[in-house]
Amino acid sequence: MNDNNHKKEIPLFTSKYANRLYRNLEIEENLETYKENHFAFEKNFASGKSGIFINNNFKLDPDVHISNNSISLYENLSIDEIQASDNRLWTYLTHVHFWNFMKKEWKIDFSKDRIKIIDFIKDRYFLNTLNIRSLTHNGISRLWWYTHLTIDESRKDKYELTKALLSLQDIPVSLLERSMGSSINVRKAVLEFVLENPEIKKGKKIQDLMRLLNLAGGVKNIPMLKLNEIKNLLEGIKRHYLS
Amino acid sequence: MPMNYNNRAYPHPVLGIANNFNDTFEVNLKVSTDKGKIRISIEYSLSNKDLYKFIKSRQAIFCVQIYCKGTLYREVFKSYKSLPEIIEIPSTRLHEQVDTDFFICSCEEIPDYTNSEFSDVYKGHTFLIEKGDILAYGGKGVFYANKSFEELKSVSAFMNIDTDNKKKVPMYNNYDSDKITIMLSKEDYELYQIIVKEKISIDTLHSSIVLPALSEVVRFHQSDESNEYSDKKWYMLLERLIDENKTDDPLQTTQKILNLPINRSFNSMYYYEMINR
Repeated sequence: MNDNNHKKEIPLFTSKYANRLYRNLEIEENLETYKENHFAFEKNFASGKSGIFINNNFKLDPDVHISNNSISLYENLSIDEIQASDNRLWTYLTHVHFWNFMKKEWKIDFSKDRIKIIDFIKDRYFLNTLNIRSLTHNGISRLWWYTHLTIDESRKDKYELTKALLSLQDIPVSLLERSMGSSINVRKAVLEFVLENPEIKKGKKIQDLMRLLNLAGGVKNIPMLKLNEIKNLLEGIKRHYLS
Repeated sequence: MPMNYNNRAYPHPVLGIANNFNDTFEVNLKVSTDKGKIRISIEYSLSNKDLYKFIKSRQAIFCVQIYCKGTLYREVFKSYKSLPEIIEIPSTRLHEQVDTDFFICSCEEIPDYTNSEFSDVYKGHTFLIEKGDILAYGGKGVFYANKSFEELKSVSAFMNIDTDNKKKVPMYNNYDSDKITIMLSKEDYELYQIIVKEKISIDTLHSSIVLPALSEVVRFHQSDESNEYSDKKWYMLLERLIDENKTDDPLQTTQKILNLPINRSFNSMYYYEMINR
């Protein structure tokens, strides 16, 4: 039996519709739809064939550690990088397939300022600008990208670096919200360094480590260095500035 | 979030930054697509003899950093040759805008780095260079993966038309998405959807809707207000089109971008009139 028989094809929102949802956040009555148990969308704008399948029963669990959700989404959603940068896909998934997860994990605080509510929804439920920051902010795309950027088949546990990345909230923010975080050598070096120096996770040391590495990147082309050379650089920063 | 290498304070003179040197470092970039691969050929052109010597003795190396913000692809390709081997990247790894930065970087520590072509301010001074330090910057290149030249020049690459479902209101531009949306009233949008199916209407639509809207976009693009949109796809595509069609007047620049829409519109109407006489 074809494995796809257990899976359903994810329909994509059209670009125009995804953009319309984004723009319409400014309209009061549309903001109200984010309080509902099901997001009301116009079904004729979600009819496109994506060729992307997901298990019918697959759910994300807001009560488990983020690394579990990140790895299980990655294993259940077989897409390439181009598909994973498609705002139509992630907007559909946040608003429809993973709506219940989003409502709990990225609960919208309606007691806040209207502008703050809109900014929060734009940040976590949409993917309006394509860059490393927005891909790692959308409530669902971030989970896929965290694993994709850290999976390492050469390790005994191929998700060891994913777990290191997600072992402290400061790490993905400090590492991936800087453009240097898109270099595989830099990511790997930083995460191995975290594994070998767990004390670095105390206080704001991770933030300082990444800030200082970024400063060094001002004059050095760090992504051209070998893994152990970047780790030596991190060791030097730790020794001179963080101890 | 591509890096900007021009506005940094380097602890040593860098060829290609400010007026640190009396020499030049230039790069020629060519990109093509072949059988699911993006082929990138580079030719480095360096006039500085001392840096050439460092490269020949393998103390320095030519580098290109390729960065795609859509797929988070970032790789550095190194070469000791000014005409390196063609770089091949699977086309599934790159999507839309790809940024390239060109450097010469040190491969080892150089304790007393100096250069006979340092500008007068630095002449005779020596500097400590560490492995990976940038010695020359050849600038930035941008290309669009998996997009033909025609696709990128087409207005539909960066503009579309939609409605905000309001009754009779004037049209306006919305700049928040990757494409600019020309917003029409509900009634205008419904009429637009009917007439856009007629081939004869396309040229007239270009004059009556796209020309005024894009003209405003061109004016907006040149104002400081537009800076907050500089990472949007429309902004970057339009920047190139404005450069290619530049005049002193946004209205005229727009007409050049749209390939003289008034003339096309009049011709279409005239032709339509003739065949229906």
